[in-house]
Amino acid sequence: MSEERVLRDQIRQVIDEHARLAVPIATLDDQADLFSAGMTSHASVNVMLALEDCFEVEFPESMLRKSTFQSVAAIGAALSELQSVSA
Amino acid sequence: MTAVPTWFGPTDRPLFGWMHVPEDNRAAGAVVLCPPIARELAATQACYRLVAEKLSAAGMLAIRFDYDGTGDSTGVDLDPHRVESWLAGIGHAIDLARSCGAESVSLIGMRVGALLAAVVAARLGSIDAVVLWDPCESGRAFVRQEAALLRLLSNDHQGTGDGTELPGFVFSAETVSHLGSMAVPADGARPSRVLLLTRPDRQPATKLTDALGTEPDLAEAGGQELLLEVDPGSRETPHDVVTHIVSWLHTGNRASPRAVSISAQDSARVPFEGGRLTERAIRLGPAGLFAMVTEPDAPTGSPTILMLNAGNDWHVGPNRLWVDLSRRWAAAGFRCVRFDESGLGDSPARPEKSANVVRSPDAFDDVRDARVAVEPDDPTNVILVGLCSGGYQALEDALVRPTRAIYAINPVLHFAPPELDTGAMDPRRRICWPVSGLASTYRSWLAEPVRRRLRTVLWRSIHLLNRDRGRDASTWLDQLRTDRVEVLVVCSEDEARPFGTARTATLGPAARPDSIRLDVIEGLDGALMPAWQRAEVSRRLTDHLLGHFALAEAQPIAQVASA
Repeated sequence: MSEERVLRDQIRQVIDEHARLAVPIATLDDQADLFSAGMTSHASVNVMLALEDCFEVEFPESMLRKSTFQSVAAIGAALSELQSVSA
Repeated sequence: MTAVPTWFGPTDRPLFGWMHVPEDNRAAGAVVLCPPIARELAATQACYRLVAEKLSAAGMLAIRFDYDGTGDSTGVDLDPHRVESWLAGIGHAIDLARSCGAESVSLIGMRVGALLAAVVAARLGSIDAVVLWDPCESGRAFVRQEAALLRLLSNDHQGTGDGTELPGFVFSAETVSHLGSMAVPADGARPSRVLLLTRPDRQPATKLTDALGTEPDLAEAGGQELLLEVDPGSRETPHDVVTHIVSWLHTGNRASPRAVSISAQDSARVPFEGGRLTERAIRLGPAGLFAMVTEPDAPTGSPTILMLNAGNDWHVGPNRLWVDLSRRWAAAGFRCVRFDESGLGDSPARPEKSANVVRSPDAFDDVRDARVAVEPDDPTNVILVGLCSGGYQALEDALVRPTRAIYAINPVLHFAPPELDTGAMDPRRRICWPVSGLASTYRSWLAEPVRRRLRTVLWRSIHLLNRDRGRDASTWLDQLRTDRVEVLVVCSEDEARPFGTARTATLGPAARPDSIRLDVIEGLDGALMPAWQRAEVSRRLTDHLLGHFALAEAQPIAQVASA
């Protein structure tokens, strides 16, 4: 399994546990809008904190906007950026 | 049980709170409820009131109160030494409980309130039991969570340049630093018993209980997301958790019942901007609605300002805005009354009615009773101020009874009246466009940009068809104009939509002088979470008030702070 696939699976696990979506995350593709799928702003903060715990990163203020947490792909891109900076 | 409001603590910075006394005036110990802070304080007000009522029903004296700079108490967010003043406030509440004759004192704290309770228990000793209800991992984690939430709620966050902005509140750098470093002292006293309640999706705060040194009893803090993480109108009290906490405190309570002596102080001199104002807790009308009056020293003939609930928030207003405006406007000579409608905040529900019903038709009776109580000689001599459901209710009320002015912030005119669950819409509603279950379905299925476009089409269609002319804004605004009511509506583009053609007539510099003014602020948040929006709305309301109603001898009003 590619590193990217592993990353996406971990993100999906976090979303499943914390995003409180109206539909199972398994039914959504990586580009699907999580806010349209029922994730509230409060839930997105819980997702953010869980991602920080899971990947041992901290989202900087500049990344604290809805677009960062809009989809599995967007979260993956943000995490990749954070991990490349800290590497 | 009896709930008695009182001012207490230092006379130069009084705190406000409630004593919940068992029926027979005999209490087996006391419990001090340490509230959360900032946005979470408003979210838990009704829940804490329920806990206090259940504790007193179980034979304990319960004290709930507002920390310095929160709720009705003295002070503001940006005052110095916030964290130490909050810790001191718990100490004053403990002193109040002991002065009533309580043999032992226990503490309940939720979120940051749990951290504060743990620190006080370790510092003071002599605390019987401590309930740590979904404690924050740390003060720093709380600030980070709330600051992130504000940014995710509002993409156009502008910042204040003055401390850290959280949803609805601003903390100074000192407060953030002190919250981050707050810790239970290593050699502190150990409470006899500790109950740790943890959310099912979180790890238990064992660092906190290890620091306290007492092996905790563990339980689940279910329902926190429905209490803390939803819109104000959708909050649900976690009844099972409340029952468990009360039962745990009652079962392990070793105090024997003894007579308690209750002495309440219903008014206080509150410091404000270098001077002092009088604040007084009162009851209004036959329903006994709770209200706090802020009075200037010099009586004036100005209208009394009545502030209504926003959703099911309590009388301190959205993000404590009513407290801030009451004190500013009282300093300029106006008597201000912030009150709770029946079943909301600290007011009892009317007989055979449910508590915590937002937009209840009983609000018509509540506002009528409040007018008569505060202006018995001329109930028309009032200015009604409201946000969201309160703004709607203020407009409705001015159509029923003559009124000097209405300040409506983001009034929501299209909603599902609660009485539709059991029957027809209350005939007193003249400007409400009832929303059906179909609309709720569409909200849950369609993305916001699509919904916005559909709403625009819908409102245009409504005005074209004009099937219910009485509810059209131009019709009822004409009545308010004829009745010489000064109306200032401040709202977002979305909430301006129902005003239809009336909106274009009152917008822009070319608009003719009119008693009806509609100010649209792009992106205005429904609850005024960003600080700049609170400052801007406060400025517009204050300018209008002073421009239309200030007496010649009124004091110059302080510029509204950015927080």
